[in-house]
Amino acid sequence: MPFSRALLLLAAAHAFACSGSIGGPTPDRPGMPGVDATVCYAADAGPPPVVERDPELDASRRLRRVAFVLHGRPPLDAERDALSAATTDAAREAVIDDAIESGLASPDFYERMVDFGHEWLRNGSFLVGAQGDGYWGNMSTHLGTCAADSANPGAYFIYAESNARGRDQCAVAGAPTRDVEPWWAPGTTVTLLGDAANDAPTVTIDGAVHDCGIANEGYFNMANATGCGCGPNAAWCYPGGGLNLGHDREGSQRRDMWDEPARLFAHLAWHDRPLSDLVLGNYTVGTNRVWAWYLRFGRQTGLFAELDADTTWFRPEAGDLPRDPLHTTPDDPNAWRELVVERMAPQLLSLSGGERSADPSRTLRWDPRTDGGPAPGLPYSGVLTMPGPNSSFPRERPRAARFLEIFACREFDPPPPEAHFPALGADIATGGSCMHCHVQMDPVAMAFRRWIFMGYYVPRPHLADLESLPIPEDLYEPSRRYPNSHWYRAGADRWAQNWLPNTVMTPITEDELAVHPRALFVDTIPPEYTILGQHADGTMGPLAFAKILVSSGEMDRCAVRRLYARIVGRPLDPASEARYVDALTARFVEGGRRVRPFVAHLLRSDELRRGVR
Amino acid sequence: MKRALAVTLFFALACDRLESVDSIRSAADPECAQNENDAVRMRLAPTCAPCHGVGASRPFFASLVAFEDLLAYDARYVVRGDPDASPLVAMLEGRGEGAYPQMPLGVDSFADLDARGQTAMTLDEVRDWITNLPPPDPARGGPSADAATIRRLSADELINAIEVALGRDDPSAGVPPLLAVDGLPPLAPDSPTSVDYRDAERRQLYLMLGGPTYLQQRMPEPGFSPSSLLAVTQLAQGACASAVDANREVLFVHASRTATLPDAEAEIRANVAYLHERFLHVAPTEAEVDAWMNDVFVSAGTPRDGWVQLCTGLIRDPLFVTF
Repeated sequence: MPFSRALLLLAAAHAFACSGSIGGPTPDRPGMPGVDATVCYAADAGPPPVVERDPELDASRRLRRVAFVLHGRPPLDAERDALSAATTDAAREAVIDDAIESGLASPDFYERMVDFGHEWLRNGSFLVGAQGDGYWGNMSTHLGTCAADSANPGAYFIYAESNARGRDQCAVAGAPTRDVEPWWAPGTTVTLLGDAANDAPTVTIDGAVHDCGIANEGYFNMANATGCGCGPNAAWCYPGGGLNLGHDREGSQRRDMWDEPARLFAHLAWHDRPLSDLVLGNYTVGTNRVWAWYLRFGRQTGLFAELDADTTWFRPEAGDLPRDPLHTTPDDPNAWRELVVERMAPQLLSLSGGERSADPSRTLRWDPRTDGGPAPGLPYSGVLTMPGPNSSFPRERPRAARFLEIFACREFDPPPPEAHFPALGADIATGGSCMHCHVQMDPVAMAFRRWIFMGYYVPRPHLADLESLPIPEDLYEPSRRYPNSHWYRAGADRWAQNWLPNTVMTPITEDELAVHPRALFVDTIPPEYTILGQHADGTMGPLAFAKILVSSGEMDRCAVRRLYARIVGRPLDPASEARYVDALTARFVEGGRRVRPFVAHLLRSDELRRGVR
Repeated sequence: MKRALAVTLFFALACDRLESVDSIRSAADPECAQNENDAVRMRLAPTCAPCHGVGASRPFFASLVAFEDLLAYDARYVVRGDPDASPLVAMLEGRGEGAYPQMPLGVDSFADLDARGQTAMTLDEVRDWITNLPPPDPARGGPSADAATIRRLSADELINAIEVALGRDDPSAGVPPLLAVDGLPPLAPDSPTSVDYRDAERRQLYLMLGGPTYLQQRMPEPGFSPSSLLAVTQLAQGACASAVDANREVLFVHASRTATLPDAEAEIRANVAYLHERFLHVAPTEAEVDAWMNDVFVSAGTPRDGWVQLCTGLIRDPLFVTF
């Protein structure tokens, strides 16, 4: 079948080429017997072009393949000249070998891995929970800039509705200002204007003290309490309005949050880290905008005011953290540099004392049925706990399905029509035709329920049942619309309908729920569940699933299949090439799950030498 | 569709014997089986293949190779020589301990169906098969010899290939610039729609070439469609005409842009051969040079059109647009 596809491709190319009206004629190819460009085979249903398998491609064509894989382009003139100058087979092999080594060391390789990351770790834009009528995903006070011909050209004002305290200040000579080195442009100075210039940590309004590090919902734009400013290095503010176009463009935060999984993948490949860190790691990579996102996520809880004391987080040169190879200038805020997430968002737990770790022994046991008080946080677990994917897959079951597809190469097809299932009851994982997929999906889904995106006007990201966001005691009341707009928008009605006690996805009893509503957020996979042939170790949240993905070998096998398809150019057939998949997987694991040497192995394999002529 | 095809294939493989539930047991020993394992596969298939056929996540019954490598010789399911220790038997009997305590999934286990005579193989026969399961074929394990050996170039690879062929020496590895249009900034394939309306035309061209644009959930086009072939041709025409009119040095190494036949035939032939190798990375035979000369260059009428059409034809060549 795949060979037929090649025939079809060539047939299509020739059929189009001989249409006559586009691009002129194509000559007969003497090297392809039976092909006559003056005949339209597709039109007259004549014989398809004949292609022959070529078990050993010319060195020049192999060099071309290597260049496409590692650089995304054919060989440049200098690379071709080097091959032409080689006069023996051994010399030509050496040229190709050098091309592989130099290509793997080139920043181009990083870029190709970013592209592959987008293809493999497919997620939608950071939209759900970040943008409605305006972008609120930054959880920050939005700033606008004064016009060049104003009294305060280029100064930043708070973009909220109160023009008198914001935009109108642009025209006021002598209006209060404060010069700061902003987080988004380290090494430079900007002027904050009007309320934005205030540097008090709190303001008191009608006797109530407000933490200026917390941004409130607004109309199109967010803003902290009236009178509050932007904080140290403007860390409480974001340079842009919620209605500004371009939130998907490179250089915007929303784009970066979409990019984050692919960037982490490329980072692991570039720095020769185990690919399992993608789900087991307590770290990520980010530009200053990504770091700012996590900082705001932490600060927005109101629990971690000490984050304001960190004045180096936005300085890319500080700490000499591993970064991407495309942004080598020390203070480049666009550099994708490594971050143990807990540093900026303490509720996303490192479980390692703040050190970078992907140790599978990282464990946090937390059972809302028996442990008192709100949850201590959520163990960070790489892509599985990133805001972008969890926003893009906005509920627990889509998250489970997508992550099973991405990391375990599972597919969810409908059941065959002749299949008979037990009658549909309260649990779709154990009855009805739904169970065909949900028996596999729901045991995983239960670990993904803590990320929620809610808000009055535009939803914003939260982790449920932390101290900053306690669950109302009367939350769970089936068959009634929850009156609080926040919890309603978070999906409380949906929980009442779908998060049913005594089901696979919600393994609690009615009695336990009656004792405390936070039992509803149980996200520790019970040890008796079997997922990918493994049992969970009692860790709360997605980290338990991450451990299963790795310990079962399913992520390794899936990664090998994805990498193979990308590098060699065809998918491995899991039905007919299972042993080959296993052999490649064994090599990948023995190599420390590092992408670069595995890519080198594939580029030198016999598979890449085969072609057509 | 895949499943329907699998079922169809099974019935074809089973020599058209399975016409009704009542006839299942009568078809218990397909003569067309390749070996004993294949016979077992065919006899279990009516019960199992609908969920485990071609295209399934676990395609145990897609082929004999799949049956052996994914099920019969995978200790997670079958312990050779020991049916009591084989999770497969436990699942068929409805006492599995994993995520799937029972197979087939649903109301009745295999054992229930067996008790009613609705399987093509009995549980006892499954047990006997596992007890006497021969060792696996040690020779198997490499890549499929029938697998495809080429793929199409993606849109960014195609654009870069055109630009390199026409003399650009610093194409981007990530977001390739399309050929300059009105001085606008390079098109990013993941530029969002509805943001920069000026980019719409080039964005559309990029998508017509096969993409991808992941931000908009458009995966790479796996093969060439009529629209992508059209886009390749149009892009090639424009790029080649521009390069020829600019007298791009890399295009005219052995002959000038204005060289005419018959006076400069040797130079033109040499340049045609040079361009063939530059674009396709394969040295042409004399016969191929003849073909490009006669069918393309000469028939174009003027030297300028000849070089443009030669350049365009080489870009459209299967060796150019594939990996």
